[in-house]
Amino acid sequence: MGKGRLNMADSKAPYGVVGIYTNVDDVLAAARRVRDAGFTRWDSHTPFPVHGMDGAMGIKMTFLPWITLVMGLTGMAFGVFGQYWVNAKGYAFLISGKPVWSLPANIPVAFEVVIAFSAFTTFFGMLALNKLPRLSHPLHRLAEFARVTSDRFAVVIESGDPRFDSGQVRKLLAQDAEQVVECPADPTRAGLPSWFHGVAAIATCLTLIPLAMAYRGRHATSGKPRYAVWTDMSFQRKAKPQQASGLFDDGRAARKQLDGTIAVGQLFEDQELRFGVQPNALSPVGREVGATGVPDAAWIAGFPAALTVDEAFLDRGQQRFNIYCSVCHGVRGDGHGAVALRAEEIRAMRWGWIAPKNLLSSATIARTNGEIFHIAGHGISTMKGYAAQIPANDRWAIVAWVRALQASQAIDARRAPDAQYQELPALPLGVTQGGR
Amino acid sequence: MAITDPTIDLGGQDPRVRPQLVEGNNNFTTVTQMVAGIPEQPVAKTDKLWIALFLLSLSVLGVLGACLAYLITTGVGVWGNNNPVFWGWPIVNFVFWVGIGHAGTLISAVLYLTRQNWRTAVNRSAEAMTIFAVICAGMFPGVHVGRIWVAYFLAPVPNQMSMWPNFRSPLLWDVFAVSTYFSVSLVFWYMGMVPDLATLRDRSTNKWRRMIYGIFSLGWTGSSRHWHVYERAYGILAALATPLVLSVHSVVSFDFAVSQLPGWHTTIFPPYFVAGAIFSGFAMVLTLMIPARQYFNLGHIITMTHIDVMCRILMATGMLVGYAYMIEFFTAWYGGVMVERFAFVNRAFGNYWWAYWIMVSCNVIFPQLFWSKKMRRNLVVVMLVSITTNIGMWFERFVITVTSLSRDFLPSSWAYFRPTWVDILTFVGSFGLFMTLFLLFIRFLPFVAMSEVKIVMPSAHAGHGHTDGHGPKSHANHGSHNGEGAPQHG
Amino acid sequence: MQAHVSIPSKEQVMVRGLAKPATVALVVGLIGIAATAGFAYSGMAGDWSAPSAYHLAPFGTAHMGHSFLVAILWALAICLGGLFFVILQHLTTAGWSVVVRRVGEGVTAGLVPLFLLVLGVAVIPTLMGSSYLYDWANDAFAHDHPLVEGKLAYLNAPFFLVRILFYFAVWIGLSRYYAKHSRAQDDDQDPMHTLKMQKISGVAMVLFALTTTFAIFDLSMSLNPEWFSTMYGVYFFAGAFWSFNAVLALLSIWFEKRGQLKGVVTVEHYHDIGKFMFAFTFFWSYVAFSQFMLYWYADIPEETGWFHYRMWGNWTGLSLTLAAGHFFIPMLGLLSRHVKRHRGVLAFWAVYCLVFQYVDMYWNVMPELHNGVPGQDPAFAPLTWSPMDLTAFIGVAGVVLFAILKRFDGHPAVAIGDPRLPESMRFENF
Repeated sequence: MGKGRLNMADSKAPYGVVGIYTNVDDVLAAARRVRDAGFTRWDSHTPFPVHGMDGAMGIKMTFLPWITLVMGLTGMAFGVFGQYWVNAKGYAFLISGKPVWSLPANIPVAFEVVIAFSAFTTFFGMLALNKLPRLSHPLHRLAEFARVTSDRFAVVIESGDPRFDSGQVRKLLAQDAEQVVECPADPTRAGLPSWFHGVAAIATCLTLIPLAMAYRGRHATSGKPRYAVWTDMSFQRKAKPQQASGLFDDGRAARKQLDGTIAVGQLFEDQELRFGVQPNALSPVGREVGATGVPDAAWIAGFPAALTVDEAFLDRGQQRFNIYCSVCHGVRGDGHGAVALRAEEIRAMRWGWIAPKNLLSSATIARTNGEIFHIAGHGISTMKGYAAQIPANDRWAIVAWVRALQASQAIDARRAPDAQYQELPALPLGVTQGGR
Repeated sequence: MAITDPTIDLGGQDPRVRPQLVEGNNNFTTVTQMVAGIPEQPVAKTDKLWIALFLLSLSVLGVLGACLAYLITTGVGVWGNNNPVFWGWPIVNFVFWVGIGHAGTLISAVLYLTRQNWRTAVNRSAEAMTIFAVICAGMFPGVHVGRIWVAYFLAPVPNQMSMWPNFRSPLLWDVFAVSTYFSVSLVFWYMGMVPDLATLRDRSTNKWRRMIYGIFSLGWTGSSRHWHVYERAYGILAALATPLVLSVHSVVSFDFAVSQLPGWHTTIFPPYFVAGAIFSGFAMVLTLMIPARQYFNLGHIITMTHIDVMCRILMATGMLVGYAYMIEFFTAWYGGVMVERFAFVNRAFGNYWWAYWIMVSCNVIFPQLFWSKKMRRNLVVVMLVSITTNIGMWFERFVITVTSLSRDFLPSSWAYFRPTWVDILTFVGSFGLFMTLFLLFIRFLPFVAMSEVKIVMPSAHAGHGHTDGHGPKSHANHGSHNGEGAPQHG
Repeated sequence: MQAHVSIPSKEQVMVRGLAKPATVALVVGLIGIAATAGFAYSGMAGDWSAPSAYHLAPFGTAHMGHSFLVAILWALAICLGGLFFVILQHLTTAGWSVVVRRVGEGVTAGLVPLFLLVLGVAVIPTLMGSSYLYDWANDAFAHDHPLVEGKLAYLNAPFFLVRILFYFAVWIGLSRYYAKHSRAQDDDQDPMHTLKMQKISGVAMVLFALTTTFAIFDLSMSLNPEWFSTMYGVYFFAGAFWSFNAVLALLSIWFEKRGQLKGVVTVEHYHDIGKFMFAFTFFWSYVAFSQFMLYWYADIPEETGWFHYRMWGNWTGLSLTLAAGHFFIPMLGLLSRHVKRHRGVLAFWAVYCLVFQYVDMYWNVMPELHNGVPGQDPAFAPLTWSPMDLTAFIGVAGVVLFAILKRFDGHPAVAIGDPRLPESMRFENF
């Protein structure tokens, strides 16, 4: 194509002279001749990479691998620190018992990021080093050149070369050549067509419209419900508080409390029973978060008025204590429960295991009842809170039983009168020897 | 001196002679014509068989679209997934497709690095197959998330919830691995195709084709200075894609193996999955390549030698998979873990015994036919075995996913998994997507990497251009010599 | 270098004069073995720990057994890597490797002394009821550990003997088969030998995979009889082929220096060997990481135990050294094309690889010296460096080197009759 249009360029200097060859040997020989003649602005064109051409043309090794290496290392830094920031800093949460920063789990993604960075760098780096894409090239307009991407080989010497001399160049290329032709300069203008700028400006403006709409949407208020493509169960056929409803005579969707029912939160009004603090020591708002930050004086020393402390209550406390607490603290409350014994056996303190407290210690004895109740419900140190498993009444019963243990077990049996010492029963199960 | 008597008959396997990679009396011109002739066929003159197949694929693709629309508007309850088999067919299909998507990049990258020159005949179409298979694969976990409109949660993009994904989860590794694999494979495929697109551009007689091929060939002129950078880039991409291929199916295997579920939690999973992926990928390459080769008359380029080699790889990877089956069974016993032993006995003799034995026969037993050269060169047998391998590898993923989940630690939660019609039609539909893309590819793009096939032809090397009595056969494969003292010699 | 290569004559590549170095290696090796035994039984280097309930032998001899086992596994890895290399080249009908294949064949000669060493160190003491290496050989230990008791059908001394005999029969048989045909071809140049060797390579590879896997299960994994990993065979194989390529590079350079491979092996072949070393640095890391990560993630006590006492305690430093030295450093070191194409630099990295293969085997074996001993936590047992580690290594390496040198002596250093030799000599990377 384009024979006619090429003639337009007659006034300009030609792009260069092209020698076309039919086989590898000839093109290699031609390339060597051109190299040895000292030309600088020339190239050979082949349908496939010809082995030995780099040497024949004297092409220096590309530095593309170094670009790839640098970007690969950048990718590694990005992959590792990105994950560190996301999971250990920005949005840290515990999952499957792993530390928030667990390197083994971050290696696969870091690896993929390295590969992605390096691969894209290699591809785009190849294009950049070759100055591609280039959609217009004088050689593309030369009909004889078309077969060079299929089954012909070409050596092109540009007319811009300082040694360029049409006659000599033709002679140099003619040996073994199928033909030698002159490639005219590209007749098209180098810049983009003028209409392109107008179209591009309009297109750019159009693309800003959605952005502008989004911006406006984020900063405007509206009385209408938001438009939902996916409703995600946002709209359901039910009444919500503060809504009107025609179902009831008074026109309200929310109903008043019925006799004999308990409203949400009503149970928490007894602060002594629920939180172990003096009545009204907590603000109504604060009670949801529990009794954190209350002054020591606020803990009650005795038992809530709502409870009766009697033998049945103590029995209940002993039973609950043996179920929930003794596995760690031991039946006697001395901290030698089954879990503690096992942990000692496998020397778990190496990994940061913290032994259960001895409930008979003077420190625990010194705590108020309210405080012990709070710890049973909310935990302390590595102990978890048991509020979800043990109802408040039972936690108070456990407090009572802990007091009973403190009163009975902390006494040194050897101080008992001899007659009574003989009668003392053997130690209960699980309280025998400690670890080695 | 070594070559004594070239006339000794060694039954066609004379070790002194490398088989020619391009058979027949072909040269650069005929190879170009053979390959470029396919996409150059005018649209109006498209072959009727192609149109029929394309329409069929389109209608199956329509089934997929309908199933997905139904699924998305209704919810994942339309699938057979139940408690405890939360991962039913969608994940089986995902692993199946992503496994198939391993052969292409393996052929282009690993075989490039190991200088297996026969790869040039099949790498282009295998890479295309890879990309289409990964598209099919990515679709399944994509819709499996349920509310697909919040699938962006998977990507670490700043959002209104100030929430970030959990990088300690293998499911997120999968997102990264599969998307990296897809994009890098696409780049690799496209980059390999640029010179061939330039060939199509320069040969086209139609203005539109010239323009479209022209844009996508990026102005490639075949400049040797460009080829130099291009070849380095290709080598680097191959070196990057090789560990990438290993990593992708390893990460898929981590989805299973990091859990504590018996039958999933075993250390051989990563290489075992990779071997299985290559196995299924090669099976799919054979399944597609043999009909295409016959249909397009490419027997001189995709020769029986190529098919023979691929059959041997198929058998080798099949045995690697068999090795993993065996080691898993042995270790289930040797490890002494009760639940692990149960899981494996249950696999072979439990509710899904039939699936297990389909898997074993298709993956381990049938490929043994390829010990015989005669079988490797019988196209019907090769076709049948490659198809049974595809079936077997689907069942492998089914066996792993479903048998282990349906019999977990708690007998009270045991359940039997049954697919629903939506499951089945979605899977069938994914073949429609795959075939539609593949048919478009073979119709409009160069099916064989012309420029790469030309490199492995004897006349591509100095000293072979002229007939000088030095038969081209003697080192068609490796011998590549020029008179230039290559600068690297020290 | 031209397209037409000149095949060297048999005389040019004939290896001679190795009898003396071989004898030196043998003498040094035997002295090393004797010194190790001397250390162990004289109590000079051992006996620092009281004998335990299960270990009938004092710790000095137990340490001797483990030191020997580390060295044996190190050498076994190299020799099996060589066998794999030879089989692989025939299986893939490779052309490039013909010039170095004879070196690979020679390395497999080390399997014979290794057989005797395995018998002497592992099998015979176990048959005689000693559990100085393998806890499972001790009835009391097995009785106290129900998991181990359940495996006694597999882990018992007679069956152990049978399996070891089978493994070595397969390996030595294959090694001799390949050496025999390859040498016969030197004389008659008959391509039929090549076809024969190719023909059995498929079966040979299957046998190799199975025997190597189970051998390493038996010799190394069963040191902690409660632990198991399906990947363990692959893990050993990865290190084996890695270290073999290091030996291949070193021996080829040596033979080139001596003149037998001069002009035959070119920088192109070293480049390929270097690529194998680089690739298997990666492959080993991939396998090692996968094995570790899967157990770390699931965190099941039976499985993590093995890694736990290697990670948290006195072995932490060695574990980190292994991760850095077996992966990061060689990966960066072997990345460059120039490294692989310079004999001196490649030789340095080859020696480096061999050192870290030893560290790997040490890391696998030595912590087990303290495992299974009641009251002993392998993580906190004092680090067990001992002169026996060195003497056992010298002993095993010397004896194995003797067998390898003997195999080379009086034969061509290259398979000059191989029909693909010209192709191999002409080979160039591109």
